[in-house]
Amino acid sequence: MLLVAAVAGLGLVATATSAPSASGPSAALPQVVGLRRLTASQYRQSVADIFGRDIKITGRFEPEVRRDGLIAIGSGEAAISTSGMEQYFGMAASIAEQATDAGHRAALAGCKPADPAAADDACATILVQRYGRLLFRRPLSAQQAAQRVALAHRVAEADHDFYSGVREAFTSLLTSPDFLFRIERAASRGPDGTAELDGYSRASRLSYLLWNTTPDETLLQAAETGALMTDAGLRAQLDRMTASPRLADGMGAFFDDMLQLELFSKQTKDPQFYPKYSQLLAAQAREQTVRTLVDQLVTKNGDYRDIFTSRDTFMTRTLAMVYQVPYVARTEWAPYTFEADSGRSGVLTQISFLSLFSHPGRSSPVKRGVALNEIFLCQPTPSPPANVDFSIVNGTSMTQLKTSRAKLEAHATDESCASCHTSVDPPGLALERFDSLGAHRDLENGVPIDVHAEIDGKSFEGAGGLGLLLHDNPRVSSCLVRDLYASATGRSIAAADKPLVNSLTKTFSGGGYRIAALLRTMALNPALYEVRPSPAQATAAPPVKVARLASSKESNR
Amino acid sequence: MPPYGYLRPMRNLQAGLTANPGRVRFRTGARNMAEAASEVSMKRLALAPVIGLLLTAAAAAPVSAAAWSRAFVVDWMEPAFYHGGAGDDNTAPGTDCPKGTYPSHPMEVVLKTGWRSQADIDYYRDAEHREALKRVLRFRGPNYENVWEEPTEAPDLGLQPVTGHIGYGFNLDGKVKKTDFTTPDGEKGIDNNYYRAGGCWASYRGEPFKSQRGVGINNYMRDGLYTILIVVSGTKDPANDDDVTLGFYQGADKVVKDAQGNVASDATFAVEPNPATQSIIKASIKNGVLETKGPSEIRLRDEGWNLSQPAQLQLTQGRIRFRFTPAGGLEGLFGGYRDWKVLYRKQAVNGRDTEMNQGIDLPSFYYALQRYADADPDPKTGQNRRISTAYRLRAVPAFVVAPDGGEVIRQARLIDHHAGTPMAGGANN
Repeated sequence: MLLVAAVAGLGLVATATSAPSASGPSAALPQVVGLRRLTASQYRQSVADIFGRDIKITGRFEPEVRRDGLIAIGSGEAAISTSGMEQYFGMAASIAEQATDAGHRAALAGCKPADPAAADDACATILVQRYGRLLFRRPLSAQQAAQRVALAHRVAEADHDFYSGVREAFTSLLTSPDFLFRIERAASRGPDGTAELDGYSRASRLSYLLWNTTPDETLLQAAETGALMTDAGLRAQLDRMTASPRLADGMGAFFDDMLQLELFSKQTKDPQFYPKYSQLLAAQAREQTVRTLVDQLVTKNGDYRDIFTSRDTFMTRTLAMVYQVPYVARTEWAPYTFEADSGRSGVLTQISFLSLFSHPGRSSPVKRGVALNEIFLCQPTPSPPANVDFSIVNGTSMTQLKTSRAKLEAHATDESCASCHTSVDPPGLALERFDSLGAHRDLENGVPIDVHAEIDGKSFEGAGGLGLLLHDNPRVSSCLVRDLYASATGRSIAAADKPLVNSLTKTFSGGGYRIAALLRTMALNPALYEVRPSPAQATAAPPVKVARLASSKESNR
Repeated sequence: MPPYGYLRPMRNLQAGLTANPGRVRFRTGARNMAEAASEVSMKRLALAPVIGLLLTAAAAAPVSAAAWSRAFVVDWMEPAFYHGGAGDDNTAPGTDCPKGTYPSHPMEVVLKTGWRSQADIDYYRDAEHREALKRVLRFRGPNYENVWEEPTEAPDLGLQPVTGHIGYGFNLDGKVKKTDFTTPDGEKGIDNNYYRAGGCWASYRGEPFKSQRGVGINNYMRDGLYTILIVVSGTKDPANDDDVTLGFYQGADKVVKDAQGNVASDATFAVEPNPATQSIIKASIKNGVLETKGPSEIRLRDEGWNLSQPAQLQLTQGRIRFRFTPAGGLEGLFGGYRDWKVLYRKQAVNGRDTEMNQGIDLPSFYYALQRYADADPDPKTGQNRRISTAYRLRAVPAFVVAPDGGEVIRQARLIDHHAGTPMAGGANN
């Protein structure tokens, strides 16, 4: 229980800082320049790929942290609280138990003990090094391996069971910061302090970006041989990985993050007004959007801008009830194309966007407008001033104001509100023919809903008009490039990144807005594997530990 | 213009009226506010719960000639019994049952046979010996016959009939007889002798949608025991159309409940192509009220609470009177003459529940049905084989598709090919 002793009851915080590595288990490894906590989906996928898809993972993950619009960025600031660590211990113990039980131990490739009822250091060493390398995404240091082998030996002797020892060693590996965090290390540093990621860190960036999982054996070998540090080696791996159907997993996770679909886990709807709402509907609405985007942009390699205008999607019987369309397939999911006059076109008219950015009991043009600007245009809206009077918008006393538009128009007469609402309200109002659940409606409180709007002097009508406007807005494609780049690097776009982002945007548009080509161009650029020193470090900040012990207050900031 | 306005009810708005205002939809084009306002006024008219308003709207608007279709899943079906009691009290005497209601007979009387001793009767009546009673209850014929299967082997203990004069249903025989009911609206000549025979049974007595048995049976349906689908199609206008076809179908997929426990609208159901529970009926709609053009055979999936019960509800000389509701649903009555022995079997297949929990002496129920049977005399014995009935039905909007999916059933027609794969969520019988 060495690792248990090391971290039990203590908070860990990911401080993605450039700093020399600390003493301890990782002392012999290259310098740490970045730290990102695995997201829940990355954890699950990694375990499935390493120990098998039938391994059940039950437990509560730490809440994801979203920064600058992305969990991928927030994971660089994400902490593990004391209670969260307890959950990780529980999950690790369960995974290790399953991986070494009678049904799975035969699948543990590498070796079999000479005597299953006794310790076998040679066999344990093979298993610890093999699975430690997969879990840590790089070979274990001699010290890291020796600690786990010693642990396995002690437990095996005490329990007279070799696999009990392996189980404890696996638990130790699964609760190590080297597994729970993607620890990026530098191969070298330039004169300005910019670090170049080593091969294993490159492998992790590529694997989690493209496949949302841990690097596979081929990728780890490319890191080990140094191939990933060369253009040719990198290109070969990109060819392999972007051609794989697993690209859908990586891009699915990216779109789930970009569209903030994890908000479904907190979503509520008033059953009195929206009796069709259910957890099943929420789960399928989330999956519908991911399926749609992956199909259009990865499987069919389509034009990114078409996600705002396409009527193609995937449907289930439950979703069809809200869309009020027949579901003629006899399978759980089926491709579906909305009719031309359905009023549905593009991702903005899917239940996911419409329902996530609404109140539990009514739609919200403001929430939808704010979300649209932030998600698709990378234009965050500042929080409203503290002294704003929301009574007109949220109150129910002004019964003469029947529609959201009427309320917002009354609200916007307040000058302090008008500036933001000018950019937020029009797209939201254009979507008002969809209620809080995303179902079509024509009337609000008995009054016809007007979906005319104007942005930057351009008039448009309804969701269809809004979709066309976004389709032709160059900011939409540059926002995607920013998000994808930030997702890959795990940090917000800085001023120094802008030339590269602009260049990638030009390449993206010049290539017909194809996301696979963008990924390749981006991943072949050496800048993707560089980590600049933070301004604080540039002024010679003192080094900090990689996974330092932190108070709960610090870890929750 | 596509042939059916099912998904595009606004096309019917040229007629100035849609019977399904919940589905009114504006085009996203530039017709816009003026036209929308006109449509709103139409919706308001349609929302009025009085058919008279529908009549006004229809009369004021030109009639279009466009094919249209509506589909539904039944969310409630029960015998159309009139409650003459007070409010929610289903046991107190009322105008329907002035001598009171039943559980019909005390177990002491029911158990009495020529061969069972009083000591045995006392033993079985003891609550502690309920399990033993369950085993022997059916055996009370003179030679130990199972009287649920052979009810005439037991005596007719007499069942209190409905003696009131108000009832729901249809004038099936075209006559106005002394024994007929009059509807609460004043329509005379109503034939509903199933109500006459069983209307004082407390389990079935109560306001519409509130009787104990009605709630229980419909909960079984909502939990997935069976599904009843309806497709209504016409060629002119859903408010006035003399060329309407109505199809009853059994569903292959379970009913979907919403967050409030009601049957969810807009779900899709495949047809189970069972000819025994399917029928196509010609009808017409006048001022929003759909009625059969003439006596028709009606077959549909029967309501019930047990898969051992007969699945088919078959009526001869059937009538239907439905109307589309403002919320987009369908409600009303259908009726006709039903084989009374099937009605008996429905109760007898689970006689233990019927006698011990619902409190009726099954042989007496058999005799009552036989006594009040009023149609289809047996040529040899003269005994009527059918009894007049009526059922109350309510349905919500749905989509009905072919057994193997692939096609939306927009025109009521017989579906005779075999079912495909059940939809996710499970099939039912």
